[in-house]
Amino acid sequence: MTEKEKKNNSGGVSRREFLKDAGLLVGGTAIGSSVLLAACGDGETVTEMVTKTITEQGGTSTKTVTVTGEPGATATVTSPPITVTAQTEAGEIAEAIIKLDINGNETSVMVRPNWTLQNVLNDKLGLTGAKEWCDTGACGSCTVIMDGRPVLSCMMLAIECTGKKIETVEGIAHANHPLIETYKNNNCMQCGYCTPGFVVTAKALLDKNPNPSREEIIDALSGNLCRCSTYPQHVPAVQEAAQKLGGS
Amino acid sequence: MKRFLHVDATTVEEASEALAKGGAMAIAGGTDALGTLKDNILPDYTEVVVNLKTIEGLSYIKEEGGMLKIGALTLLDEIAHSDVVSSKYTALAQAASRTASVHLREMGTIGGNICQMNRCWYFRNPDNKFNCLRKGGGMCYAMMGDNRFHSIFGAVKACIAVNPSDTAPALVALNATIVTNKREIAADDFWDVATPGSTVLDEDEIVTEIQIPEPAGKSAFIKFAIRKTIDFPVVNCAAMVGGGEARICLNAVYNLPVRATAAEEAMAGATIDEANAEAAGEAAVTGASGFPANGSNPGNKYKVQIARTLVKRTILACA
Amino acid sequence: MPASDYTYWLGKEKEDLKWIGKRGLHRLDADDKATGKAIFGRDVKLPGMLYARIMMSPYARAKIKSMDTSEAEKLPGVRAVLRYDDPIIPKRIFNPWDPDIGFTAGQATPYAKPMYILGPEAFFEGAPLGVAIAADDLDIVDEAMELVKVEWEVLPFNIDYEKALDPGTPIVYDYMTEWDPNWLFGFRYAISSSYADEEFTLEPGWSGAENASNMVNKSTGYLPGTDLEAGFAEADKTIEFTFKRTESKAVSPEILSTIAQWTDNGMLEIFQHSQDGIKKMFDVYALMMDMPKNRFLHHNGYAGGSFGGQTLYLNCFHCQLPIAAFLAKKTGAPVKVLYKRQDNQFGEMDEGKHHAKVGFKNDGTITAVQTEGLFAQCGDLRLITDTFGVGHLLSCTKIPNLEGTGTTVNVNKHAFGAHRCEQQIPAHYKQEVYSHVAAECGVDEGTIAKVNDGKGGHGLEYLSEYRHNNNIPDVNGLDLVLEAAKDAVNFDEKFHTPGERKLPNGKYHGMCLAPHHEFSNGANPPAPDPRSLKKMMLSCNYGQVHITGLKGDVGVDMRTGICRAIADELGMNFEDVIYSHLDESTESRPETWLSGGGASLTFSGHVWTSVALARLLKIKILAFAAIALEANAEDLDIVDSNVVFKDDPSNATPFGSISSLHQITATIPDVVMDWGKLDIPSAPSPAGLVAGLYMCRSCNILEVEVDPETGGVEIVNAVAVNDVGLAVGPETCEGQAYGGAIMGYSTGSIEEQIYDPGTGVRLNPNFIDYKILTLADIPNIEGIIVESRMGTGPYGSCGIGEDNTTFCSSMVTAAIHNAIGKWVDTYPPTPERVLKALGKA
Repeated sequence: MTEKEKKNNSGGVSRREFLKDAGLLVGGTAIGSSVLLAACGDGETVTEMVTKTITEQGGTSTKTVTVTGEPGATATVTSPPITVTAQTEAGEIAEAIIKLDINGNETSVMVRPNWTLQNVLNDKLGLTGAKEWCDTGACGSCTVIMDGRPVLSCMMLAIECTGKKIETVEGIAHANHPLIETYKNNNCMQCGYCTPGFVVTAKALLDKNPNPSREEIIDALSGNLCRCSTYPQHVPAVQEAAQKLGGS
Repeated sequence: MKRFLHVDATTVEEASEALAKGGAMAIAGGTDALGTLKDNILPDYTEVVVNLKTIEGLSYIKEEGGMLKIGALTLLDEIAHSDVVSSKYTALAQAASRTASVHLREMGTIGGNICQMNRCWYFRNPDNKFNCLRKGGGMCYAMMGDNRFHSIFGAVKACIAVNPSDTAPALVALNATIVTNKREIAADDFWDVATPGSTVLDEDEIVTEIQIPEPAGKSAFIKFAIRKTIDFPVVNCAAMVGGGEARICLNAVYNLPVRATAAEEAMAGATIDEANAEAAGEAAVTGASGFPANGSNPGNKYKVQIARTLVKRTILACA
Repeated sequence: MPASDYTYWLGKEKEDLKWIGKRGLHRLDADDKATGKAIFGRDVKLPGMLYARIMMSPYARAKIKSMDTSEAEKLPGVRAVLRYDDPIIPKRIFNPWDPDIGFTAGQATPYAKPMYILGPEAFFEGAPLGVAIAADDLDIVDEAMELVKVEWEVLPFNIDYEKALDPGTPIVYDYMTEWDPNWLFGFRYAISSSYADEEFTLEPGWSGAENASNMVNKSTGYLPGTDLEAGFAEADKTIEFTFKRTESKAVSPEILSTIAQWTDNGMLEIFQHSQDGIKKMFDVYALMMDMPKNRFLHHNGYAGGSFGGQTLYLNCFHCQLPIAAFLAKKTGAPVKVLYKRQDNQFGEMDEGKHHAKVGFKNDGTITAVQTEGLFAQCGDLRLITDTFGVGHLLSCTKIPNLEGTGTTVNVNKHAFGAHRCEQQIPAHYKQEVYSHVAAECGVDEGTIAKVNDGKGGHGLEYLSEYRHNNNIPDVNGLDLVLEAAKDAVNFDEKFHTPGERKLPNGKYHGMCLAPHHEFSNGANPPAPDPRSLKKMMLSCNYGQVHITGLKGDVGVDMRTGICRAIADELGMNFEDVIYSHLDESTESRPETWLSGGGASLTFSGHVWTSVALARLLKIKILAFAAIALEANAEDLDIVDSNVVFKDDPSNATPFGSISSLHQITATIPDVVMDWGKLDIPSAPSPAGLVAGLYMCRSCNILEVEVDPETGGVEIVNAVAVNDVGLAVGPETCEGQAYGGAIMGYSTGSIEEQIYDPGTGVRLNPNFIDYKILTLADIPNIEGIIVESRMGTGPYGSCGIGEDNTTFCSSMVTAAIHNAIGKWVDTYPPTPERVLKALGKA
């Protein structure tokens, strides 16, 4: 370790100072799950939850590994999809590599704790469908589906999405979801900036409720703003998609 | 959003320890916490964000021992759509279903909703342009400024911000108890005018559960806001009337949820009808005044009329 | 008279148009926008790109006395710091009246203030100034910005326009006394140019009181021949009323950002969304940056909303482009300058206080209108084309006596940005006049509109004769739209006098009807002059026709409209007409106002250019095909992308199989030289017809329910009827109708930018506190298109886009009045204002 890195990992540095330098810290090499599995021993007898700290040249990485199963049983080791690349001595994370399941593809990306999911999707991963409009959780343009729920990616820290299953408009379009066609049929877009947010929110609705009423559609889409006011066309577009999906 | 460190707490104890170190902010749904961080509203920026979502076992809705128990991490959407909450603890289900927008209810938790900071637009102005009383500063800017959405029942500690929660009045009307890692607090006593928070909780104290006794009568919640969704309340009201009891609570009219005790006395054991409800509405706003118009500030006396109406209508909805 | 008598003007009969007016065609941008593939300026990321922000003034008015950026410069990851006093920034302050820039007075006018890069003076809270910092990522930029130490000289300010000229109110833009008096002239020009046939008196602002320079101007306009005294004497009744509007915002979805990089050959490559790729925008930048005008390469992506705001004026004022360019120069890397949400809350052109005096006869015939307005000029720019309350009465009625006075004063409020559109005030006056007179007479506004129908003091007979003389179909446009709108909501059955209909739910029902004229922007046929045509080229390519044209996307989907027109003109199938965008430098680009203000969805001057090019291309194709097919060109035609023999259409040769056709192009110079072969009609002269042609009409109807116990207003039902002459893209036209109407109702019912009176700081620069209507709040609404073919665009089409927003924003209080019998005199009609009107607050 360089002197600087040693300093950063000593307890004598304030968190603020630590944060300022975190961007420069050469974090521990990303450790693949195979290394961890070996270290923790998949198939061992479960005794308790184990935490392993693995130090490698170039820095320190800590990884918490969850071992499930009743004590005495054969262990199943789940490697949590996060590799910490910079942290304080107290274990407060400044930078990490997280794994996300985006549209069925496992993706690893380096994040800082203050980066929102929208920021990571758009700027780091090039998935520009989740749009930044209000940036305060009040417009729905950045909606993604996470574990089945329509959520606002601008109000969600990427680091807290570790291991989550995320669906974006790109995935919905790639899967040829009928909403894409029905949105086009119903002329649901003008400037088009908010349109992906509507499509994703509508997809989450249809996943949960294949045959929504007009009121249910309005309720589900009422958190999505559209400045051009394409609003009236979204209801028939969702209804048409529901029909195509086999609802009545 | 400026940088901070991050901790995933796996137990309440771990979270509490992390918060006890200072400079930390707890995050659950994040819909309030991230807003404060993005706009950089506090004089001292948060150093560590402590994630509570990684704590197992704090998301549930169950009836047990004659009461409803809701885990602090339960989503507002789950509460809004819960059959048991809707049928027996109606005011809470209605309040949850009128909170924020459909997306935010899929993210926000009941614990977060009752702990959220106030929405005063001086307090919330980006980059702490108004270092007000609630941030350790010397004055309330809203008092002399634009207070159209502020308190109509005067100030607490010279601050006229209002408690913006929709679920808070429902919990007060339903006589809930808030359970933390340290104690049990009656909903009546849960909120406070702290710096910068809005509850009596210690820095390292974490809400773990909400307990609500089975109500004696029907309950209801009514919100008046500018829009049908997204918005915080201009005024909201929850009431439980029946079985000889009445608990009525207004919110967004004062720094704390306001028990309308005069209205409660009027309604306890009384028939729920238009005349009684109207009288109770009138009683509820006795002592409310609001601020007069001043230049571009229209003042907020109009909120008295809305509060009066909401008390009446909420009582009628308990029939 | 049937439309077929006007074939010269209309070009084609409607039944001969295959693609124009066809329903069910997807917009060409539909797939991009539905799937998230559409790339907006904000989405662009270049390899090695740095991020940058500009400091924003925390004060309503302040000067930087000194600034220490040394700590910021030292922060690791910071790549460049651009200070206001950096030598890279030319010292020259941009003066739009500078002869070097060659602006027409109309182009220069909106620059109300001198422009400079990074200050060092701020005239409103949130103004960009002082310093811009580029770094590896935004975290570092934001941290570096906090390390900048500024010593401010905080100056007195004023945000209350009503007090602007009171004794003791500070002068808010002190250079108004020092700078080029042309800035005053600019306002004179704007006003006089919008009513060329009116007469004006103008009063310069700076004379008299010590703070008189807070007044930008005071001016009066009137219809020639106006005699107010006689007009009011003739009236059976005279009423006076006052209304106020507060400031609203465009709140464009996409937050302004600019990416700049320098190419190897010294070009400045820019990615910035702009609703129109205006050459003049780059002329301004060239001047501000002291560089040649021909070094700009502009990539104009999709624009996430703009509504008139993302134009020359707004983009230039914020100086994002020169700042990005200088940072890119300093770092040798591409730089993206980003705003935050609160930096992007542009808007306002409607704050002010207005008074009207109206004389009318018992049957609703209006004999005289006199108006007086006081307007707040916010931010640093203003598109002030109409300070007169009588402007729209002038273009919609025969009222013989009209006079309006407008005073504009400076205030220290946040940045300008058009908000669909600058005509909101005259439109609002017109609506208030109609609604007040209708209420007084116990009739609906449609009746008042009919009684007074006309233009520039002329009645219907004059209009009829005018249309006849100019080959425009002679249709009563008002009747068309009134009937359609009333039928749609069952108006006559629902209509009631004010305060008379309480609903079973305890609320009061209210209605407002707003008839108005069309919006046309550049729809008149062009002259055979390259300067009046748009830059565009058509070329044949293996059976397809490619259009190379500028990109300007404001959501009105002009691309599809142009492709429909070219397909119909050429006899091509729609899918064989391809629109390619032209990303290019300003060099040789003609003045272009692509789809400015969203005015002409269906057609603008751009589409006349398309029609001319298509007609020329067809002549060339048939000439070459004649050689290939050994036939006479006159005997050939193109049908469904095949070259056919007119006498035997089954003898068809696929367009793509004639190899000699691949060489053919049609360009602007060709068109000008062969103008006589193209059957382009000449524009009807508006001489003798005040305030433009505007033959087509529109009509909006709004129904509200007012809760008398809370002051809550629910917008429940609406219809937006527009006569678009001929709908090129019917669904898109309908979208502009209901979309514009909803946006107007949003502005008119809940939108208000609120300031702290003590500091001038904005209190709601976010989407929680600045509210726009959601799907749950909008009325049941229908957009209905009527086609009279009275427009001056090709085939008798006219524009649509701005009008519904402009008109509908002023309908809400009239509907509330119809509900409760009381006028709410201030927009937006908040619960507080409604309860006050009811005496309950």
